[in-house]
Amino acid sequence: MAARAMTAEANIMRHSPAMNLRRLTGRVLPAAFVAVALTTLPVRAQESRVLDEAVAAYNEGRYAEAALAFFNVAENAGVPRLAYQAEYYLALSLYELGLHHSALYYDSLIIDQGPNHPFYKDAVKNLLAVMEAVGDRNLVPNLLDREYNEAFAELPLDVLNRVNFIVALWQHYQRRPEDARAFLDALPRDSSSFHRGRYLRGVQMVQIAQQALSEGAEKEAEGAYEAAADVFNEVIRLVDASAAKTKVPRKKKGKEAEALRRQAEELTESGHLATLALARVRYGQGRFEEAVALYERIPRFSKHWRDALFEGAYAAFRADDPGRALGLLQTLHAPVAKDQFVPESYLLKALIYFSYCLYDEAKATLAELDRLHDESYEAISEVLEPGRALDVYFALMTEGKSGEDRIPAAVRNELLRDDALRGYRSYVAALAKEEKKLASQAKWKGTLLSQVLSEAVAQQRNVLVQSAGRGVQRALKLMHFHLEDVKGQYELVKYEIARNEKNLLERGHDREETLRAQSLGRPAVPEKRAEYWSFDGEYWPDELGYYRFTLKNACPAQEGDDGSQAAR
Amino acid sequence: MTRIHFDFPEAVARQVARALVPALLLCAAPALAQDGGGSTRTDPVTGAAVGDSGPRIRAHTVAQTPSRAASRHELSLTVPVQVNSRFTHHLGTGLDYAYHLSETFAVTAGGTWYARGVLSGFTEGELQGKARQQPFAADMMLLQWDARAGVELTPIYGKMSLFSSRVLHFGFFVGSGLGVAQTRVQLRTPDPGGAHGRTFGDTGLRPVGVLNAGMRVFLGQMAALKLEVRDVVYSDAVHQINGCTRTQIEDPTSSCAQSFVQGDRNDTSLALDLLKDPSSSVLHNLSFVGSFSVLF
Repeated sequence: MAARAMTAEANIMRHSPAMNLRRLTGRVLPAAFVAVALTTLPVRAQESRVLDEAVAAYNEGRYAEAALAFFNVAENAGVPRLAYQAEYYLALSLYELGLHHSALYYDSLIIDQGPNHPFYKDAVKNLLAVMEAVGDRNLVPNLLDREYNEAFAELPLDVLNRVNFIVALWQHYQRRPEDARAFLDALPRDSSSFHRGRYLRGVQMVQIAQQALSEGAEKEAEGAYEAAADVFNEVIRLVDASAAKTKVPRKKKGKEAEALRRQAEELTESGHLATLALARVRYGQGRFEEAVALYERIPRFSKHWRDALFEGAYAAFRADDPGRALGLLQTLHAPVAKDQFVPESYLLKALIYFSYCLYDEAKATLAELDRLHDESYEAISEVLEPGRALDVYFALMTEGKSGEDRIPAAVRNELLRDDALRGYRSYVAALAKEEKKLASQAKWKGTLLSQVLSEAVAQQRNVLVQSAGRGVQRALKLMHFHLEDVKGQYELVKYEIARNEKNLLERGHDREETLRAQSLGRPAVPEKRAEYWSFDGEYWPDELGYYRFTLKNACPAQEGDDGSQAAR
Repeated sequence: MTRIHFDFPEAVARQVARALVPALLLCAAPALAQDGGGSTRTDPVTGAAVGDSGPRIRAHTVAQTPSRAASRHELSLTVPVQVNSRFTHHLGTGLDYAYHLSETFAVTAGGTWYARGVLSGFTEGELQGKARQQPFAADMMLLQWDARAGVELTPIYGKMSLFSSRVLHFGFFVGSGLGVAQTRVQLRTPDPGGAHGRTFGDTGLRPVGVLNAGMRVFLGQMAALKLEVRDVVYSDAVHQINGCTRTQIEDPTSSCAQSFVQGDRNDTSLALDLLKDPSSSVLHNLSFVGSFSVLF
């Protein structure tokens, strides 16, 4: 059954979590009030006073003291109302102390008690703050997806919109596209998550197109591609229009400035992702020149620049512009961009040289690929041998080594680029800091609160390390598979080179003579705002991304050719 | 156009190797491929052996650069310091404006006020003080201020790398212009005891020509540093001082005779001495000018 997302106007029934003891007690309490009132009145008054003192301590910034008092009331309160308040204020105190996972622990307890908990919606709202603070990408989205119900409609609109996007993204990752679509369609245009939602919708359309292509439905695929392109163009326009509104002076501080900065970063990220996705759509449609132009719009040194260089090189090659393709690969292989896991880019480079019968250059490139490939392949094969605990893989990602096991820097950098794994790393790092903070709370030494929270943090860290380790293992297996594929193609290209060299020799083709008849010129230089420099092996930071190659063609001339066929 | 690459801290070695201007001017078309050669070597880009046919692949950079100066205004605060200060010594401050029509061509205007325009220590101390001699009036002419307009050409541009991370763009420029300057001559040196200071005689406005050459280093998009050599050229003929010719000063009935009297000091004979042998050569006021510019 497809999920229905909550909007401010939605009124859709959804199965609620099971009632727990406190809610039952809450219903029972009024009926038994007269019976127990006389005996419990002094206790309730005392608990209420303790709670009031704790609130006063919280308001004065004495969060550690307040948290301890709230904990005691929450654990021992006979009156549910007081317990509810204590739980919620405890979560707030822990958050103020920078103990984010501990705050999440209590927010989760509140949420587990269901929408009838008076602070249910506040706890849901707090989840988003915690998610941001620890960089979580799994725990909170999973919780929100599991918990989503009609009570969410009462959340403040901006919170509800963010929740809807987070749930949509989670469902997308869980391969539930119809559910995700319902949540994406619920995002209003003026929501801060709208651009991300539209981008995700575009991604769904691309998946539909790819599915149609694999089934041979080319017309349907083309329609889906065009729809996706429209969506990505919409996102790009939206980002451009919003850029000025979210500009914050560098020196401005405060929560509002931080929120605007975060919004600006999200907008920029969406813009880049949409541009990249649109370039891929154009590539899929065979519109290679447009794809190249789009790839070149990704700013240099940005997060997605590496992908843009690699994919742009492919698009340029398909657009019959080998000089541009080689130029993009030159940047990718520059020393400053070293330690990147891009074995396929060397194959592409070799293929370009091969297509121009420049076999020496192709072989030199393949030799370089072989050297890099062997190093990575052997290292990955070794660490994938059975018998390693999952935390070994986590250590390989965070430190590059674990005991005797090591992975090359390029492989490690590839793991570090993975967004999902980054979420785990960020959360584990936050938990490590939280552990130290808990230990440093002198007022809590020996208390049950300290014990409960320490155990919760330790348990969560173990879970995350195991999950991350599994993720790293999966990623390494993919890389291993990829390298095997590259190795196969490497052998093919090597064979083709040898075969072609033999054929040309047998035909008596004089490659040197063909090359001598050609000249290498400059590439075309745009009239405005372009500077030409020759490249002699020295890399300048302001030149990265702007390389162009001119190359000769050593292949025998085709019939009707005039013989001068240097490529630009 | 010729381009230069500097790379600190290897700048010295590279300058000797590359930056000799005549050699650079002869190499004004560096990017045309040169086939042939005949020697077997390795291509620095591809690592492949280069055969008899020469390089088979060439790498180029076609960089999209933001406009450094083209279509932008430049306002510079200048500090000229005279360097050919045998007889005179000038130190001033000024404001220059340039509008860059392109990266290589600009129209300029500017002015300098010489806060210090006096005879040099050599002239005052050695010639006048000890030898009781003085240079010709023309050589003693001092600038008070000048204003000029002209053009500027930047035929050479380059970039340098600082500590392998920061890239600074620069250009060598030459310029010329015309203007006017207010001139005067120093009549009397200050008394050793300090009781009386210098006295001057006004020699009026006269046209000047300006030639300058220098280097502009861009500090990002908004600022630049300039170092240039500027030659302000003007006629040094002195026919009048304070608007009075020699004949008028010698005439006791004219007001000119009195115009050189200040309190108990009478500079009439000093003025007459200066007007005795007017020369008609051309003076060069050669300065090193350091400037800080704002581009907008």
